[in-house]
Amino acid sequence: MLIFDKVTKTFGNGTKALGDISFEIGSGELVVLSGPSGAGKTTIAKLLLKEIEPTLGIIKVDSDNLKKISPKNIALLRRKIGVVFQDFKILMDRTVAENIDLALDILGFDDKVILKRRQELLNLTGLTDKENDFPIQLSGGQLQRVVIARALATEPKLLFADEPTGNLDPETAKGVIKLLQEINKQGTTVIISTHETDLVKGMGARSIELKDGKLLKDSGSKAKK
Amino acid sequence: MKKLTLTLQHIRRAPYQSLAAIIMTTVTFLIVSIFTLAAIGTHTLLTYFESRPQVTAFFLDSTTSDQLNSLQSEIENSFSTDSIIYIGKEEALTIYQDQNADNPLLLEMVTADILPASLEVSAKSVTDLEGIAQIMEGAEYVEEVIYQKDIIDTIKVWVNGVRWGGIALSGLLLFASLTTIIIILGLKFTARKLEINTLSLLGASPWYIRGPFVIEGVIYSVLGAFLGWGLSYLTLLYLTPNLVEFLQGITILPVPYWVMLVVLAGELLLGLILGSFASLIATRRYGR
Repeated sequence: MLIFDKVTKTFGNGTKALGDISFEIGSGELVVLSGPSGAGKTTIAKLLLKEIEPTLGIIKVDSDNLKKISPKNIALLRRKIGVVFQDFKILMDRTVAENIDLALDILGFDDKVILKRRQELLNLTGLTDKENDFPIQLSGGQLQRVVIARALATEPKLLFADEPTGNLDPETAKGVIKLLQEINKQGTTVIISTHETDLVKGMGARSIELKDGKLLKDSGSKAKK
Repeated sequence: MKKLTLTLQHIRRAPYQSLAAIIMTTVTFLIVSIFTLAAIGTHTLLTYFESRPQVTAFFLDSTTSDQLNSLQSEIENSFSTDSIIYIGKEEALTIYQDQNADNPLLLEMVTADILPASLEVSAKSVTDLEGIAQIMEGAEYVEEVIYQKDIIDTIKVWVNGVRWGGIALSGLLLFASLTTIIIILGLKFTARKLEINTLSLLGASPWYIRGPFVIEGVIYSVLGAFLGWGLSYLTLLYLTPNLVEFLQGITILPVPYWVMLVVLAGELLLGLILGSFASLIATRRYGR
């Protein structure tokens, strides 16, 4: 599903964000990518979406080598990956329903399909009564659920959640983690990137630990064969 | 349809910016229309004078028919003419009598003997007039040459002035409209940077992102073209009675409706090109 092979990322100012990182994540795995701030978690997300290019190494998503993807095909790559952004990236002038619809509209689905899929996602994330609310009317936890719903709209094989509990109180954070676990149980590969290791302890996920851009520990693949 | 709805939403959300763009393009196309119509009008006026007998040579009484034929051949061989008409003394008298039918005193004093025979030459191109006149003046049996040089020269100056002035002013205003649309769309693009970034990360194609902005630019300029043309047409209709009186029998007005439709089609096409070009530049420049 996802391969990072000896990936190094050094920025123009000389900052080394990742150093010789290698791991392989199989289809249907639940992975917790942990480490303190500056460990390189967000850099991995950016590399995954081809926002930035690795200095060295190979990244493969669904057997596609990202280096060989032309700029005009980057959009197609991004449609395969659902991302829960650390800063939400919610459109504040659109309702919950319109934010979820956005991902489906980009893919060119017709209105009937969009409506049906939206209802499924609102049910899954427990937002059915918030459909017509604007983001400013929602709590942090509800916003995070909207972002998860939007990320799942296109039924991606891989969901990357970058600090999904970063701005939430412990109870709401647990709810979000539980939701991500449920999504994984339905067959989606889920990567949770977090610095709050206590929150993800005991959830039976594979753990990849990073520090200063280096791989500290990988508890090993638990991919469903 | 969704893109158009989204575009109209963008326009509604920044009404004053949109209004500024529409006013600028309307003024531009109003000026383009006025100069286009003025260029068509002056060109028609020039054609009108070109189609009239423009050079007239009056002959001495001693002129022979061989000399007349020789002069006619020389003119025909040297220039492209529309018609060459010989008017003998008797015909000249008839014309004189027709022109002065209401003044018996003038008619009493004039006989065919005192009127000269003449040759009226109508050129196809106004530029040939001077050459024809020179040939006529060179003939020793020609007493006097008259041609509407001043009128033609004045009209030529007007035609050139309208043409080049129109091109210069229209070009300047089109450039101003182009930059106005670029600036306004650029501001809107920058204001929606977060949204554009999010769309891009969700896998939106470049056209999905830029499409509504391109449509917006096209709406500004096409609407401006239509309004500018409409204003110029209304002004022309309003001024037509006065212009008809001023032009005294020169039938260039009213302008046929099909000419106005051709002008409209041209301006809509120009508007389409202007809007697309401006919005593509704006989204390309600000999309980086």
